[in-house]
Amino acid sequence: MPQAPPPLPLEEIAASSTEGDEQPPFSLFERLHLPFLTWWGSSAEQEFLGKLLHEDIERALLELPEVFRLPAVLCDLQGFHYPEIAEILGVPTGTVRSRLSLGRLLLQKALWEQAKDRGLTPVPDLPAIKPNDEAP
Amino acid sequence: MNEISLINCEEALRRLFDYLDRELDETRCREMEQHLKISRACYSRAEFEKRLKERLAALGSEQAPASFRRRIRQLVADF
Repeated sequence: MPQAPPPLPLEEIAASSTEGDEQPPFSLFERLHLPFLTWWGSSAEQEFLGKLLHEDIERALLELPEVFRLPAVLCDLQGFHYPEIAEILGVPTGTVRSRLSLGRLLLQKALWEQAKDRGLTPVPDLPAIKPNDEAP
Repeated sequence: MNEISLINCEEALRRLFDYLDRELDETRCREMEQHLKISRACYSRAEFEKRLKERLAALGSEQAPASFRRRIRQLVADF
């Protein structure tokens, strides 16, 4: 009986999610711009970031899976360059780039969910952009 | 100095994090900056990501646990 193939390692998922022409699964920036998709220059995203507490961002970061959290910490908090992060983590530079990219999307999604729970989101979470959810 | 090429929004978004993380060479960086001058959408997106990155950086300067800093120093020392 043939065995099921093993699950893909996280780095392969991360790499595949950033290659090709597919749109990223979530963008906090675009979510904040949802009501004004054709009107760029809104201050909605700046106001939103201003409302986020230090603790909100720290919690979102700490809740990231380690495979994404370490590159984010090394890059954004510690200021290391991609080749340095690659050497520290023992992975190719392209993998660092992929993990940073996906990690940032996950971080933004977590921030959005936290802000939604606290009633900080500037617009209601419209069912139209969540096709897997049933409309109320 | 190399000639710079015009890039479109798709390419600019692809380069965005490399740009904000200062990973682009000089020519690609100038191409990015030229694009941000003419695309308001990309400029807004870049500003947003930059501010979020700054919020994260502030976290590192103020609240990174000492144990984490020690771990990082050790990792770097082991290069």
